Amino acid sequence: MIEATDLTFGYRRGQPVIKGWSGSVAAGEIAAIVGPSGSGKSTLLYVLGTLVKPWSGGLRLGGASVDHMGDGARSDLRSSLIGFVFQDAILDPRRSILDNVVEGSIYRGESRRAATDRARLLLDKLDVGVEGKRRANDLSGGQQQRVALCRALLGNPAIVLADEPTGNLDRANAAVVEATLLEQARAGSAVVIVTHDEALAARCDRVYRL
Amino acid sequence: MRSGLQAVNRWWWRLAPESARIASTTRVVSGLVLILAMAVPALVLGTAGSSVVSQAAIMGRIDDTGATVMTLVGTEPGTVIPAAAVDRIARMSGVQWVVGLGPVFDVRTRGTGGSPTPAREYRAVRAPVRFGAAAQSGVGAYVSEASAARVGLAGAYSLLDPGATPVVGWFEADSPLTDLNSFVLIPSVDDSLLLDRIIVAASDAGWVDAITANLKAMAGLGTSGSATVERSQSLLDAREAVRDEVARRDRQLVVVILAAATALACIVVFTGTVASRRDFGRRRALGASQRQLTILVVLTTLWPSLIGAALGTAAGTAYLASTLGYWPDMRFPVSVGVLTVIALVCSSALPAAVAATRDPLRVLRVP
Repeated sequence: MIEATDLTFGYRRGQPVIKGWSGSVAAGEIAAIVGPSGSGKSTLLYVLGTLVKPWSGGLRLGGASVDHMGDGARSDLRSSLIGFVFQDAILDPRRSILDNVVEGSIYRGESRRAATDRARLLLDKLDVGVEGKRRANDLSGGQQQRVALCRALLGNPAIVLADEPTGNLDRANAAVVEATLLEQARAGSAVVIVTHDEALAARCDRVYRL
Repeated sequence: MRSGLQAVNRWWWRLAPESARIASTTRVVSGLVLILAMAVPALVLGTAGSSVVSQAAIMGRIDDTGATVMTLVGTEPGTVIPAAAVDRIARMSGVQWVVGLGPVFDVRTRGTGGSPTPAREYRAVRAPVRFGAAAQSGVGAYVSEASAARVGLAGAYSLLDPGATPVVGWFEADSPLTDLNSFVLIPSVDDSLLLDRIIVAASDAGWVDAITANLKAMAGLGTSGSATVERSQSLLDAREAVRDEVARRDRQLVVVILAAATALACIVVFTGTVASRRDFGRRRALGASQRQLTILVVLTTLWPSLIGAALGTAAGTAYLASTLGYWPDMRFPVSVGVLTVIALVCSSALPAAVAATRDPLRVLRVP
């Protein structure tokens, strides 16, 4: 599902953060990217997520090469194939929980009603425990991360990219998030988790160290 | 499970409901854009109202001095104009009033020996001359305050010679016919009356050329050179100059107001997008293309612009109507409102494009 070859990328000319990284994650597989702070874990995740173009190297997602895709095609690919989970949930605090969960469906051009129905089911499944009409800033950190997880999984993506998703959570909430990501992988998605947690990495099918 | 790249519906109107929701939650930015959108038409229409009133006052003063007045006058001895021409000319489009005057002759009050006073026979339609009947009304002569003093009236039953014409009332001519106040006027409805000049006032300076061109024909003089039409070209030129100057200043003012509002809206929207960097990064990660983000920001600006422009236009139009005393042609306020919306929406395009192309990684990564 994810095939990367010799990826190189950096923020400043001549100072690559990722140097010639190669790796792959198959459908139904969960991979961890571990490494010290500043090693480029998150950057690699966002390169894999097509948010930036690598300086060099090749990337194939879902069998399609993204190397020569323009912004529109890459955005289509993100909205139809990829679900992102960030370390802090990055919800819109002024909007309702449901609005936050269904936001990605807008860019996919999906019907809001269908997306909202699925969002309610996901919120129940992840036991967020509050009404969807409430504002996101009324939620605790753990609840916000569960809502963010619902948002990432709403489109049932083939690829889930999670950037330290349990980094700010207590043990109970972290367990829910981990279990959900593992379940998503077992359901057929390729899941990539950036983490400092060696125990979580040990439970993954594949570990990449930077 | 979505296993491959799928066609994505990127029609811009699918973003319209989302943009409305964003506009309702980003209250500071939307509020400021709404205020700007209200202020532009309100200011433009308010200023235009004052300008129209001032312009009308200036034009009125110029017109009082005769800018819209034409005089048909014989150029050869013995040229006469039939009195019926006054009625024909009065029916022409754009004619406000007409005065026909017979040749001047002197009159005196019988018995008292007052000074000889100029008199004229008079035929008019809608002229700014007020007549009042004395105790003994009927066909006869009318005197102004000045001409009455000069002719030396001897009470209410005076007769003027030659012709033993009774004085039957008074008159007062207003601008631009105040020169008539030095005469004794003898109104006549007799079509056999012969005039030596006809004074015509147009309802608007725009009619002056057309009336001038047709005046001799309407007076029954054809294209003969025995009469000529006199008019005050310098006053007409002054009138045009004033109107052009006022219009130019109005246009400049509209441009300045629109430019200022556009610049302010641009700053407000740009500041809003900077404050929402993480939102933009999140939207990019969720699949929004740069084009979608640009459209989203522009549409988010559109809603408060529409509401503000509608409110501002309504308020400005009401003010304009109260200033003018009548409802203006609605094309002007509607044009100002539409122009405001277009200007503000266009002002958001640049910050929208900047926000859409900003690197999402810098805001999504946790340092």
